Amino acid sequence: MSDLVPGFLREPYRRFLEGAEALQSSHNFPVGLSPREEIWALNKARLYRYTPTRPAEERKKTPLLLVYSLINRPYIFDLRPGRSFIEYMVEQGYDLYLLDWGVPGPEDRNTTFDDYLAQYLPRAVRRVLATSGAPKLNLLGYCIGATQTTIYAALHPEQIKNLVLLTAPLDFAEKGTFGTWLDPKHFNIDRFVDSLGNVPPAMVEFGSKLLKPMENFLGTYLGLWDKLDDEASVEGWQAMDRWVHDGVPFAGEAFRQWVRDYIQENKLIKGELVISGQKIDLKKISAPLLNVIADGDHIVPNGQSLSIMEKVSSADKTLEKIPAGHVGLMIGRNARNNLWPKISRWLGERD
Amino acid sequence: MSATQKDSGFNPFSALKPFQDAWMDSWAKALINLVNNEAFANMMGQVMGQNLQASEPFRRQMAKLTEGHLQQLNLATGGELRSLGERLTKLELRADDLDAKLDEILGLLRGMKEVAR
Repeated sequence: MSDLVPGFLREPYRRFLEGAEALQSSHNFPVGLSPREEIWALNKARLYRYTPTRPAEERKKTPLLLVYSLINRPYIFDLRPGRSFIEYMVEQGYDLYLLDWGVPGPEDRNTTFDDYLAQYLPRAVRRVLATSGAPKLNLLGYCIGATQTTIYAALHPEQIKNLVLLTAPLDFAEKGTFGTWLDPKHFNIDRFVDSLGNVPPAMVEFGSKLLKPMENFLGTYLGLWDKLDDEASVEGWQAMDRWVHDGVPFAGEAFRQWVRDYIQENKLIKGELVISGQKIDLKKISAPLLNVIADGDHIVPNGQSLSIMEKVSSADKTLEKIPAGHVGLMIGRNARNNLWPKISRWLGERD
Repeated sequence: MSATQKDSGFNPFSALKPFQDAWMDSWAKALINLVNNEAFANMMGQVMGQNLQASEPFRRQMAKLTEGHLQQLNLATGGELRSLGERLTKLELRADDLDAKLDEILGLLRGMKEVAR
């Protein structure tokens, strides 16, 4: 076939075939390869403990629990060897746990945001503490997971040794693009959830891509074309492409609550949020706080993550601004040299 | 791709790269401005609302028909499965609490044994 292609087009033709192959095989590109053990399960949620690589005497005392967003897979923390935050932190001697919220099915449409906070998270934390034998844990939340860990830290301050927030959407006084789209003037949340039940992952993915249409619908594929001669870059692209297209549904009632209470009415930061009959008072957070924001974040504008610094009563609090985007923060080329060592050092100093 | 880095040879498209980058950049900025405003949000909300409203009677009718057929065949409906799933989760919650209490009791017993020794 390639003999039929005119000489000057052979090279672009070869690249096109390689690009098509990379694109076609990215959906089953191996990700999340760090060795781990499932230590707890509830409905679709799973808690994993990563196999330590250091002898017990060299390990940190306080376990670290990672909590990721409800709308994407948590293997963004463990994308592939050499580009894995989990692998890095285990190498640094952390006793590492990951809470995977799982994939809600139609039967989970009534699961609320409160359920995740009051039923799932406390039990996962209890299992982490029981497994590690430590009296307290370090909690790290990313994106919506950071909102959840913030609320958890306010509900159970006695269990938290250190709190790390990555790109936390907390204060919706600054709406951002998502906030504008989901404004009650334009978006009827009740009709949406009553009609669809769970939010289909394709819809979440489309919405996320629409925030930067040119980059996400065209730029990423042109980027692949440019990288085709570098095998390692293509593999990185494939892992990322798999993650982007591997979304999970947002449980219907949890989405209704997230949009109404958090985005539209901004109850958390106003001190009006009630979880299982308990008012969330952010002043109750007294653990050391590391708040990481990405200056190029188009999903969670910086303003949504800043006001927490004034709301908590922690004496030891650090705001870290990283030159990256919302996702690039965790898996970009600089993450291993910049963000990961910063988190490890910050937690290590407070172990 | 067998090698990490390949000799890419002549690529007629590489000459167009600066033009492509400039074109991409200007479109990227324009489209970000387009989607990040009230008019776009309003248009998107209206399109979505109209679609949901238009499809609602069909969806409701379909759900009613499916449920009727399932009941006639003596099979579980979606609502029944949902309710079963919720009950199972509640049972899991109770089992998890019992498991934690048992661990606590065993820990206390172990502590008492050590003190007795």
